[in-house]
Amino acid sequence: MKRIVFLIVLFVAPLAMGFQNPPAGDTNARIKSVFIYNFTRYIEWPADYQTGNFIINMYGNNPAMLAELNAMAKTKTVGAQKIEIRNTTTLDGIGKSNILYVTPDVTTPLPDIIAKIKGKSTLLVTEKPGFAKQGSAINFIVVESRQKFELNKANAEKYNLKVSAQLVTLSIPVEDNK
Amino acid sequence: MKNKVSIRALLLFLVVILGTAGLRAQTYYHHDRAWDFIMRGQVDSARSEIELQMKEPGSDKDPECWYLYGFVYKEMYKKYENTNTTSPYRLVAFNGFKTALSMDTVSARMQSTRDNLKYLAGRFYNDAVATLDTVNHQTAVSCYTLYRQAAILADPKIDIVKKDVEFYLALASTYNVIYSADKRKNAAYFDSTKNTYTRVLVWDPNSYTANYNLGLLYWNKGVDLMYDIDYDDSLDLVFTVQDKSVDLFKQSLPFAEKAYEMEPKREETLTVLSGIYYSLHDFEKSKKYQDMLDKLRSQPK
Repeated sequence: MKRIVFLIVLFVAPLAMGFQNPPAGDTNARIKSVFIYNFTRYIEWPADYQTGNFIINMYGNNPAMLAELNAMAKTKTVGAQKIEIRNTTTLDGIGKSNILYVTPDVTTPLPDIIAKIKGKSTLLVTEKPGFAKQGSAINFIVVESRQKFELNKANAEKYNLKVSAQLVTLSIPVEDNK
Repeated sequence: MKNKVSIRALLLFLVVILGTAGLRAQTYYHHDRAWDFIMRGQVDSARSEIELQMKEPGSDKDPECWYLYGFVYKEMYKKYENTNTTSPYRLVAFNGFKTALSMDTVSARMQSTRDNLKYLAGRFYNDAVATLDTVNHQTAVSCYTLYRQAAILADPKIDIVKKDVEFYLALASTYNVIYSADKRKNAAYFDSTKNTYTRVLVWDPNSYTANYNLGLLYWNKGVDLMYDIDYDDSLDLVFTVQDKSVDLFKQSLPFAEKAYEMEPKREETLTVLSGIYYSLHDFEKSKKYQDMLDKLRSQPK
Protein backbone atom coordinates (compact mmCIF):
# COMPACT_ATOMS: atom_id res chain seq x y z
CA MET A 1 0.00 0.00 0.00
CA LYS A 2 1.34 3.39 -0.91
CA ARG A 3 1.47 5.95 1.81
CA ILE A 4 0.58 9.50 1.27
CA VAL A 5 1.21 12.01 3.94
CA PHE A 6 -1.63 14.42 4.48
CA LEU A 7 -2.41 17.15 6.89
CA ILE A 8 -5.23 16.60 9.29
CA VAL A 9 -7.14 19.77 9.94
CA LEU A 10 -9.39 19.54 12.95
CA PHE A 11 -10.42 22.92 14.22
CA VAL A 12 -12.34 23.13 17.41
CA ALA A 13 -14.82 25.75 16.39
CA PRO A 14 -16.73 27.48 19.18
CA LEU A 15 -20.45 26.86 19.58
CA ALA A 16 -22.79 29.46 21.01
CA MET A 17 -25.17 27.85 23.49
CA GLY A 18 -27.13 30.96 24.41
CA PHE A 19 -29.25 31.90 27.38
CA GLN A 20 -32.79 33.12 26.99
CA ASN A 21 -34.07 36.27 28.62
CA PRO A 22 -36.78 36.24 31.26
CA PRO A 23 -40.15 37.42 29.97
CA ALA A 24 -41.27 41.00 30.37
CA GLY A 25 -44.61 41.75 31.97
CA ASP A 26 -46.55 40.66 35.01
CA THR A 27 -49.00 37.87 34.31
CA ASN A 28 -50.85 38.40 37.58
CA ALA A 29 -51.46 42.04 36.76
CA ARG A 30 -52.36 41.13 33.22
CA ILE A 31 -55.07 38.65 34.15
CA LYS A 32 -56.59 40.94 36.79
CA SER A 33 -56.70 43.70 34.22
CA VAL A 34 -58.48 41.35 31.79
CA PHE A 35 -60.93 40.43 34.55
CA ILE A 36 -61.61 44.07 35.39
CA TYR A 37 -62.37 44.83 31.76
CA ASN A 38 -64.67 41.82 31.62
CA PHE A 39 -66.56 43.06 34.70
CA THR A 40 -67.61 46.06 32.60
CA ARG A 41 -69.26 43.66 30.16
CA TYR A 42 -71.22 41.71 32.75
CA ILE A 43 -72.23 44.55 35.07
CA GLU A 44 -74.55 47.39 34.25
CA TRP A 45 -74.12 50.83 35.81
CA PRO A 46 -76.98 53.27 36.25
CA ALA A 47 -77.56 55.78 33.47
CA ASP A 48 -75.72 58.65 35.16
CA TYR A 49 -72.59 56.49 35.25
CA GLN A 50 -72.84 55.73 31.55
CA THR A 51 -71.88 59.21 30.43
CA GLY A 52 -68.48 60.84 30.39
CA ASN A 53 -65.40 58.75 30.91
CA PHE A 54 -65.59 55.31 32.46
CA ILE A 55 -63.37 55.82 35.49
CA ILE A 56 -61.32 53.05 37.01
CA ASN A 57 -59.57 54.22 40.13
CA MET A 58 -56.76 52.17 41.59
CA TYR A 59 -56.26 52.79 45.29
CA GLY A 60 -52.82 51.66 46.32
CA ASN A 61 -49.39 51.12 44.93
CA ASN A 62 -48.94 48.55 42.17
CA PRO A 63 -46.99 49.90 39.19
CA ALA A 64 -47.42 46.70 37.15
CA MET A 65 -51.18 46.77 37.61
CA LEU A 66 -51.32 50.46 36.81
CA ALA A 67 -49.34 49.84 33.62
CA GLU A 68 -51.71 47.05 32.58
CA LEU A 69 -54.79 49.16 33.26
CA ASN A 70 -53.34 52.04 31.28
CA ALA A 71 -52.52 49.70 28.41
CA MET A 72 -56.08 48.44 28.46
CA ALA A 73 -57.50 51.99 28.53
CA LYS A 74 -55.53 52.87 25.42
CA THR A 75 -57.27 50.29 23.28
CA LYS A 76 -60.63 49.58 24.89
CA THR A 77 -63.83 51.45 25.68
CA VAL A 78 -66.91 50.63 27.71
CA GLY A 79 -69.68 51.09 25.20
CA ALA A 80 -69.20 54.65 24.04
CA GLN A 81 -67.28 55.63 27.18
CA LYS A 82 -63.58 56.18 27.06
CA ILE A 83 -61.75 54.43 29.90
CA GLU A 84 -59.88 56.72 32.27
CA ILE A 85 -57.43 55.27 34.75
CA ARG A 86 -56.77 57.07 38.01
CA ASN A 87 -54.45 56.17 40.81
CA THR A 88 -54.52 57.33 44.39
CA THR A 89 -52.60 56.33 47.46
CA THR A 90 -54.80 58.21 49.91
CA LEU A 91 -58.33 57.66 51.08
CA ASP A 92 -59.21 61.23 50.15
CA GLY A 93 -58.17 60.48 46.58
CA ILE A 94 -61.18 58.23 46.15
CA GLY A 95 -63.66 60.23 44.17
CA LYS A 96 -66.46 59.27 41.83
CA SER A 97 -65.52 56.25 39.80
CA ASN A 98 -67.17 53.31 38.09
CA ILE A 99 -64.69 50.85 39.54
CA LEU A 100 -62.54 51.23 42.62
CA TYR A 101 -59.81 48.64 42.73
CA VAL A 102 -58.03 48.46 46.07
CA THR A 103 -54.59 46.86 45.93
CA PRO A 104 -53.56 44.41 48.67
CA ASP A 105 -50.90 46.73 50.09
CA VAL A 106 -53.55 49.22 51.25
CA THR A 107 -53.88 49.19 55.04
CA THR A 108 -56.93 51.44 55.30
CA PRO A 109 -59.73 49.54 57.04
CA LEU A 110 -62.33 48.30 54.58
CA PRO A 111 -65.24 50.08 56.34
CA ASP A 112 -63.46 53.41 55.82
CA ILE A 113 -63.15 52.69 52.11
CA ILE A 114 -66.76 51.61 51.91
CA ALA A 115 -67.80 54.82 53.66
CA LYS A 116 -66.03 56.78 50.93
CA ILE A 117 -68.13 55.24 48.16
CA LYS A 118 -71.40 55.20 50.04
CA GLY A 119 -74.25 56.45 47.87
CA LYS A 120 -72.24 56.07 44.70
CA SER A 121 -72.50 53.41 42.00
CA THR A 122 -68.97 52.19 42.34
CA LEU A 123 -67.97 48.58 41.87
CA LEU A 124 -65.62 47.86 44.73
CA VAL A 125 -62.93 45.36 43.79
CA THR A 126 -60.56 44.18 46.50
CA GLU A 127 -57.85 41.62 46.91
CA LYS A 128 -57.72 40.36 50.47
CA PRO A 129 -59.07 37.15 51.98
CA GLY A 130 -62.55 37.61 53.42
CA PHE A 131 -63.25 41.04 51.94
CA ALA A 132 -66.14 39.82 49.78
CA LYS A 133 -67.92 38.90 52.97
CA GLN A 134 -67.09 42.21 54.57
CA GLY A 135 -68.44 44.61 51.99
CA SER A 136 -66.68 44.46 48.66
CA ALA A 137 -68.54 43.33 45.55
CA ILE A 138 -65.66 41.50 43.96
CA ASN A 139 -62.59 40.11 45.67
CA PHE A 140 -59.63 38.61 43.82
CA ILE A 141 -58.40 35.35 45.29
CA VAL A 142 -55.96 32.64 44.27
CA VAL A 143 -57.16 29.05 43.99
CA GLU A 144 -54.65 26.35 43.09
CA SER A 145 -52.21 28.84 41.59
CA ARG A 146 -54.98 30.39 39.50
CA GLN A 147 -56.43 33.87 39.72
CA LYS A 148 -60.14 33.70 40.52
CA PHE A 149 -62.64 36.16 41.89
CA GLU A 150 -65.32 36.02 44.52
CA LEU A 151 -68.54 37.84 43.81
CA ASN A 152 -70.92 39.12 46.42
CA LYS A 153 -73.91 39.99 44.28
CA ALA A 154 -75.80 41.56 47.14
CA ASN A 155 -72.91 43.92 47.83
CA ALA A 156 -72.86 44.98 44.18
CA GLU A 157 -76.59 45.59 44.18
CA LYS A 158 -76.27 47.86 47.21
CA TYR A 159 -74.53 50.26 44.83
CA ASN A 160 -77.28 50.04 42.26
CA LEU A 161 -75.24 47.80 39.98
CA LYS A 162 -76.89 45.03 37.94
CA VAL A 163 -74.85 41.87 37.81
CA SER A 164 -75.48 39.40 35.01
CA ALA A 165 -76.22 35.79 35.88
CA GLN A 166 -73.35 34.74 33.66
CA LEU A 167 -70.81 36.58 35.83
CA VAL A 168 -72.23 34.85 38.90
CA THR A 169 -71.70 31.52 37.17
CA LEU A 170 -68.09 32.36 36.36
CA SER A 171 -67.34 33.62 39.86
CA ILE A 172 -67.01 32.08 43.26
CA PRO A 173 -70.25 33.35 44.78
CA VAL A 174 -70.01 34.73 48.29
CA GLU A 175 -72.63 36.02 50.71
CA ASP A 176 -72.24 38.47 53.54
CA ASN A 177 -71.29 37.30 56.99
CA LYS A 178 -74.55 36.80 58.84
CA MET B 1 18.63 -35.56 -13.73
CA LYS B 2 19.44 -33.04 -11.04
CA ASN B 3 19.76 -30.27 -13.64
CA LYS B 4 16.39 -31.21 -15.16
CA VAL B 5 14.75 -30.90 -11.76
CA SER B 6 16.40 -27.52 -11.16
CA ILE B 7 15.32 -26.16 -14.52
CA ARG B 8 11.81 -27.47 -13.96
CA ALA B 9 11.70 -25.81 -10.55
CA LEU B 10 12.98 -22.53 -11.95
CA LEU B 11 10.39 -22.60 -14.73
CA LEU B 12 7.68 -23.30 -12.23
CA PHE B 13 8.88 -20.41 -10.06
CA LEU B 14 8.91 -18.05 -13.02
CA VAL B 15 5.45 -19.13 -14.06
CA VAL B 16 4.18 -18.46 -10.57
CA ILE B 17 5.93 -15.12 -10.24
CA LEU B 18 5.04 -13.84 -13.66
CA GLY B 19 1.55 -15.20 -13.37
CA THR B 20 1.01 -13.46 -10.06
CA ALA B 21 2.48 -10.24 -11.38
CA GLY B 22 0.31 -10.47 -14.46
CA LEU B 23 -2.74 -11.16 -12.37
CA ARG B 24 -1.92 -8.18 -10.15
CA ALA B 25 -1.35 -6.00 -13.22
CA GLN B 26 -4.66 -7.10 -14.60
CA THR B 27 -6.64 -6.78 -11.32
CA TYR B 28 -5.06 -3.54 -10.07
CA TYR B 29 -4.25 -1.90 -13.36
CA HIS B 30 -6.59 1.09 -12.88
CA HIS B 31 -5.93 1.15 -9.16
CA ASP B 32 -2.20 1.57 -9.68
CA ARG B 33 -2.70 4.15 -12.38
CA ALA B 34 -4.99 6.06 -10.04
CA TRP B 35 -2.24 6.11 -7.41
CA ASP B 36 0.25 7.37 -9.97
CA PHE B 37 -2.06 10.19 -10.95
CA ILE B 38 -2.66 11.07 -7.32
CA MET B 39 1.09 11.22 -6.71
CA ARG B 40 1.42 13.59 -9.65
CA GLY B 41 -1.47 15.71 -8.41
CA GLN B 42 -3.71 14.79 -11.35
CA VAL B 43 -6.86 14.24 -9.34
CA ASP B 44 -9.34 14.13 -12.21
CA SER B 45 -7.41 11.41 -14.01
CA ALA B 46 -7.08 9.52 -10.75
CA ARG B 47 -10.84 9.70 -10.38
CA SER B 48 -11.42 8.25 -13.89
CA GLU B 49 -9.05 5.39 -13.14
CA ILE B 50 -10.50 4.51 -9.75
CA GLU B 51 -14.00 4.57 -11.20
CA LEU B 52 -12.85 2.08 -13.84
CA GLN B 53 -11.19 0.05 -11.13
CA MET B 54 -14.38 -0.17 -9.11
CA LYS B 55 -16.10 -1.74 -12.12
CA GLU B 56 -13.60 -4.58 -12.13
CA PRO B 57 -14.90 -7.83 -10.63
CA GLY B 58 -14.01 -8.19 -6.98
CA SER B 59 -13.15 -4.50 -6.42
CA ASP B 60 -16.32 -3.92 -4.43
CA LYS B 61 -15.05 -6.44 -1.88
CA ASP B 62 -11.51 -5.16 -1.82
CA PRO B 63 -10.65 -2.76 1.03
CA GLU B 64 -7.62 -1.50 -0.87
CA CYS B 65 -9.82 -0.35 -3.74
CA TRP B 66 -12.30 1.25 -1.38
CA TYR B 67 -9.52 2.98 0.48
CA LEU B 68 -8.14 4.50 -2.71
CA TYR B 69 -11.66 5.32 -3.86
CA GLY B 70 -12.18 7.30 -0.67
CA PHE B 71 -8.80 8.90 -0.96
CA VAL B 72 -9.30 10.05 -4.56
CA TYR B 73 -12.65 11.57 -3.71
CA LYS B 74 -11.20 13.26 -0.66
CA GLU B 75 -8.67 14.89 -2.99
CA MET B 76 -11.51 15.86 -5.35
CA TYR B 77 -13.28 17.47 -2.42
CA LYS B 78 -10.16 19.38 -1.41
CA LYS B 79 -9.61 20.60 -4.96
CA TYR B 80 -13.14 21.50 -6.02
CA GLU B 81 -15.54 21.60 -3.08
CA ASN B 82 -13.39 22.72 -0.21
CA THR B 83 -15.86 25.40 0.81
CA ASN B 84 -19.03 23.52 -0.14
CA THR B 85 -20.79 22.55 3.08
CA THR B 86 -22.90 20.00 1.21
CA SER B 87 -20.02 18.63 -0.87
CA PRO B 88 -21.03 15.44 -2.74
CA TYR B 89 -17.34 14.50 -3.21
CA ARG B 90 -16.78 14.57 0.53
CA LEU B 91 -19.75 12.30 1.05
CA VAL B 92 -18.44 9.83 -1.53
CA ALA B 93 -15.02 9.92 0.15
CA PHE B 94 -16.60 9.26 3.53
CA ASN B 95 -18.55 6.28 2.23
CA GLY B 96 -15.40 4.94 0.54
CA PHE B 97 -13.39 5.06 3.74
CA LYS B 98 -16.29 3.71 5.76
CA THR B 99 -16.66 0.72 3.42
CA ALA B 100 -12.89 0.12 3.41
CA LEU B 101 -12.77 0.09 7.18
CA SER B 102 -15.72 -2.27 7.43
CA MET B 103 -13.93 -5.00 5.46
CA ASP B 104 -10.25 -4.32 6.15
CA THR B 105 -7.88 -6.48 8.17
CA VAL B 106 -4.58 -4.77 7.33
CA SER B 107 -3.80 -2.73 10.41
CA ALA B 108 -1.55 -0.16 8.71
CA ARG B 109 -4.16 0.64 6.08
CA MET B 110 -6.90 0.67 8.69
CA GLN B 111 -4.96 3.28 10.63
CA SER B 112 -4.56 5.37 7.50
CA THR B 113 -8.29 5.03 6.80
CA ARG B 114 -9.03 6.22 10.33
CA ASP B 115 -6.69 9.17 9.86
CA ASN B 116 -8.59 10.11 6.72
CA LEU B 117 -11.91 9.71 8.49
CA LYS B 118 -10.60 11.95 11.25
CA TYR B 119 -9.77 14.58 8.66
CA LEU B 120 -13.26 14.34 7.16
CA ALA B 121 -14.82 14.41 10.63
CA GLY B 122 -13.01 17.67 11.30
CA ARG B 123 -14.35 19.17 8.10
CA PHE B 124 -17.90 17.97 8.79
CA TYR B 125 -17.71 19.46 12.28
CA ASN B 126 -16.40 22.81 11.09
CA ASP B 127 -19.19 23.02 8.53
CA ALA B 128 -21.77 22.03 11.16
CA VAL B 129 -20.60 24.94 13.31
CA ALA B 130 -20.34 27.35 10.38
CA THR B 131 -23.88 26.63 9.19
CA LEU B 132 -25.53 26.58 12.59
CA ASP B 133 -27.65 29.66 12.10
CA THR B 134 -31.30 30.50 11.61
CA VAL B 135 -31.11 29.93 7.86
CA ASN B 136 -28.80 26.94 7.39
CA HIS B 137 -29.49 24.89 10.51
CA GLN B 138 -30.68 21.86 8.52
CA THR B 139 -27.30 21.69 6.81
CA ALA B 140 -25.69 21.99 10.22
CA VAL B 141 -27.63 18.98 11.49
CA SER B 142 -26.67 16.94 8.40
CA CYS B 143 -23.02 17.89 8.78
CA TYR B 144 -23.06 17.10 12.48
CA THR B 145 -24.66 13.70 11.87
CA LEU B 146 -21.88 12.89 9.40
CA TYR B 147 -19.27 14.25 11.80
CA ARG B 148 -20.61 11.97 14.49
CA GLN B 149 -20.40 8.87 12.27
CA ALA B 150 -16.94 9.74 10.97
CA ALA B 151 -15.58 10.64 14.39
CA ILE B 152 -16.72 7.37 15.95
CA LEU B 153 -15.25 5.35 13.08
CA ALA B 154 -12.00 7.29 13.33
CA ASP B 155 -11.78 6.87 17.07
CA PRO B 156 -14.20 4.44 18.70
CA LYS B 157 -13.10 5.69 22.12
CA ILE B 158 -14.07 9.30 21.46
CA ASP B 159 -16.35 10.97 24.06
CA ILE B 160 -19.01 11.72 21.49
CA VAL B 161 -21.69 12.51 24.07
CA LYS B 162 -19.74 15.60 25.11
CA LYS B 163 -19.79 16.81 21.52
CA ASP B 164 -23.47 15.87 21.18
CA VAL B 165 -24.34 17.98 24.19
CA GLU B 166 -22.38 20.96 22.89
CA PHE B 167 -23.86 20.80 19.42
CA TYR B 168 -27.46 20.19 20.42
CA LEU B 169 -27.36 22.96 23.03
CA ALA B 170 -26.28 25.33 20.29
CA LEU B 171 -28.94 23.91 17.97
CA ALA B 172 -31.66 24.40 20.60
CA SER B 173 -30.48 27.97 21.04
CA THR B 174 -30.74 28.51 17.28
CA TYR B 175 -34.26 27.07 17.20
CA ASN B 176 -35.21 29.37 20.05
CA VAL B 177 -33.91 32.41 18.19
CA ILE B 178 -36.12 31.47 15.24
CA TYR B 179 -39.11 30.87 17.53
CA SER B 180 -38.61 34.10 19.44
CA ALA B 181 -38.31 36.17 16.26
CA ASP B 182 -41.94 35.44 15.35
CA LYS B 183 -43.71 33.22 17.85
CA ARG B 184 -46.91 32.89 15.84
CA LYS B 185 -45.35 32.23 12.46
CA ASN B 186 -42.62 30.00 13.87
CA ALA B 187 -44.74 28.25 16.50
CA ALA B 188 -43.37 24.83 15.48
CA TYR B 189 -39.93 25.90 16.66
CA PHE B 190 -41.17 25.94 20.24
CA ASP B 191 -41.39 22.14 20.07
CA SER B 192 -38.08 21.95 18.19
CA THR B 193 -36.42 23.94 20.97
CA LYS B 194 -38.12 21.96 23.73
CA ASN B 195 -37.35 18.59 22.15
CA THR B 196 -33.72 19.47 21.54
CA TYR B 197 -33.13 20.59 25.14
CA THR B 198 -34.95 17.47 26.33
CA ARG B 199 -32.65 15.37 24.15
CA VAL B 200 -29.62 17.03 25.71
CA LEU B 201 -30.95 16.25 29.18
CA VAL B 202 -31.18 12.57 28.28
CA TRP B 203 -27.45 12.65 27.56
CA ASP B 204 -26.58 14.99 30.38
CA PRO B 205 -29.25 15.47 33.06
CA ASN B 206 -26.90 17.88 34.83
CA SER B 207 -26.58 20.33 31.97
CA TYR B 208 -27.14 23.72 33.59
CA THR B 209 -27.75 25.36 30.22
CA ALA B 210 -30.42 22.85 29.18
CA ASN B 211 -32.19 22.93 32.54
CA TYR B 212 -32.15 26.71 32.79
CA ASN B 213 -33.26 27.28 29.21
CA LEU B 214 -35.97 24.63 29.29
CA GLY B 215 -37.37 26.13 32.49
CA LEU B 216 -37.30 29.55 30.92
CA LEU B 217 -38.83 28.28 27.68
CA TYR B 218 -41.89 26.91 29.48
CA TRP B 219 -42.21 30.02 31.65
CA ASN B 220 -41.96 32.32 28.64
CA LYS B 221 -44.59 30.30 26.82
CA GLY B 222 -46.96 30.56 29.78
CA VAL B 223 -46.45 34.32 29.94
CA ASP B 224 -46.97 34.63 26.19
CA LEU B 225 -50.29 32.79 26.44
CA MET B 226 -51.46 35.22 29.10
CA TYR B 227 -50.48 38.20 26.97
CA ASP B 228 -52.16 36.70 23.91
CA ILE B 229 -55.50 36.99 25.70
CA ASP B 230 -57.64 39.61 24.06
CA TYR B 231 -59.64 41.86 26.37
CA ASP B 232 -62.75 40.89 24.42
CA ASP B 233 -62.21 37.17 24.96
CA SER B 234 -64.90 35.51 27.03
CA LEU B 235 -64.13 34.78 30.67
CA ASP B 236 -64.53 31.07 29.90
CA LEU B 237 -61.70 31.34 27.43
CA VAL B 238 -59.64 33.44 29.83
CA PHE B 239 -59.92 30.72 32.47
CA THR B 240 -58.95 28.06 29.94
CA VAL B 241 -55.89 30.01 28.85
CA GLN B 242 -54.96 30.62 32.46
CA ASP B 243 -55.10 26.85 33.10
CA LYS B 244 -52.72 26.25 30.21
CA SER B 245 -50.38 28.96 31.44
CA VAL B 246 -50.32 27.60 34.95
CA ASP B 247 -49.55 24.13 33.58
CA LEU B 248 -46.59 25.62 31.70
CA PHE B 249 -45.39 27.46 34.81
CA LYS B 250 -45.54 24.19 36.73
CA GLN B 251 -43.66 22.42 33.96
CA SER B 252 -40.95 25.07 34.08
CA LEU B 253 -40.38 24.72 37.81
CA PRO B 254 -38.43 21.42 38.06
CA PHE B 255 -35.97 22.58 35.41
CA ALA B 256 -35.47 25.97 37.05
CA GLU B 257 -35.05 24.32 40.46
CA LYS B 258 -32.52 21.89 39.03
CA ALA B 259 -30.61 24.81 37.52
CA TYR B 260 -30.70 26.51 40.93
CA GLU B 261 -29.35 23.37 42.65
CA MET B 262 -26.46 23.40 40.23
CA GLU B 263 -25.76 27.14 40.22
CA PRO B 264 -27.33 28.71 43.32
CA LYS B 265 -25.27 31.88 42.99
CA ARG B 266 -26.25 32.78 39.47
CA GLU B 267 -28.42 35.87 39.20
CA GLU B 268 -30.43 34.61 36.23
CA THR B 269 -31.38 31.39 38.05
CA LEU B 270 -32.70 33.34 41.01
CA THR B 271 -34.52 35.77 38.71
CA VAL B 272 -36.25 32.93 36.91
CA LEU B 273 -37.23 31.04 40.07
CA SER B 274 -38.58 34.18 41.68
CA GLY B 275 -40.52 34.95 38.51
CA ILE B 276 -42.00 31.48 38.11
CA TYR B 277 -43.17 31.37 41.72
CA TYR B 278 -44.65 34.85 41.28
CA SER B 279 -46.54 33.65 38.21
CA LEU B 280 -47.82 30.75 40.29
CA HIS B 281 -48.98 33.23 42.95
CA ASP B 282 -46.61 31.71 45.49
CA PHE B 283 -45.45 35.10 46.70
CA GLU B 284 -43.63 33.76 49.73
CA LYS B 285 -41.27 31.63 47.66
CA SER B 286 -41.02 34.32 45.02
CA LYS B 287 -39.87 36.77 47.68
CA LYS B 288 -37.40 34.26 49.10
CA TYR B 289 -35.57 34.01 45.77
CA GLN B 290 -35.89 37.73 45.13
CA ASP B 291 -34.29 38.43 48.53
CA MET B 292 -31.47 36.03 47.68
CA LEU B 293 -31.04 37.82 44.37
CA ASP B 294 -30.97 41.23 46.04
CA LYS B 295 -28.40 39.99 48.55
CA LEU B 296 -26.27 38.54 45.78
CA ARG B 297 -26.40 41.79 43.84
CA SER B 298 -25.45 43.82 46.90
CA GLN B 299 -22.28 41.82 47.43
CA PRO B 300 -19.08 43.33 46.06
CA LYS B 301 -17.99 41.61 42.88
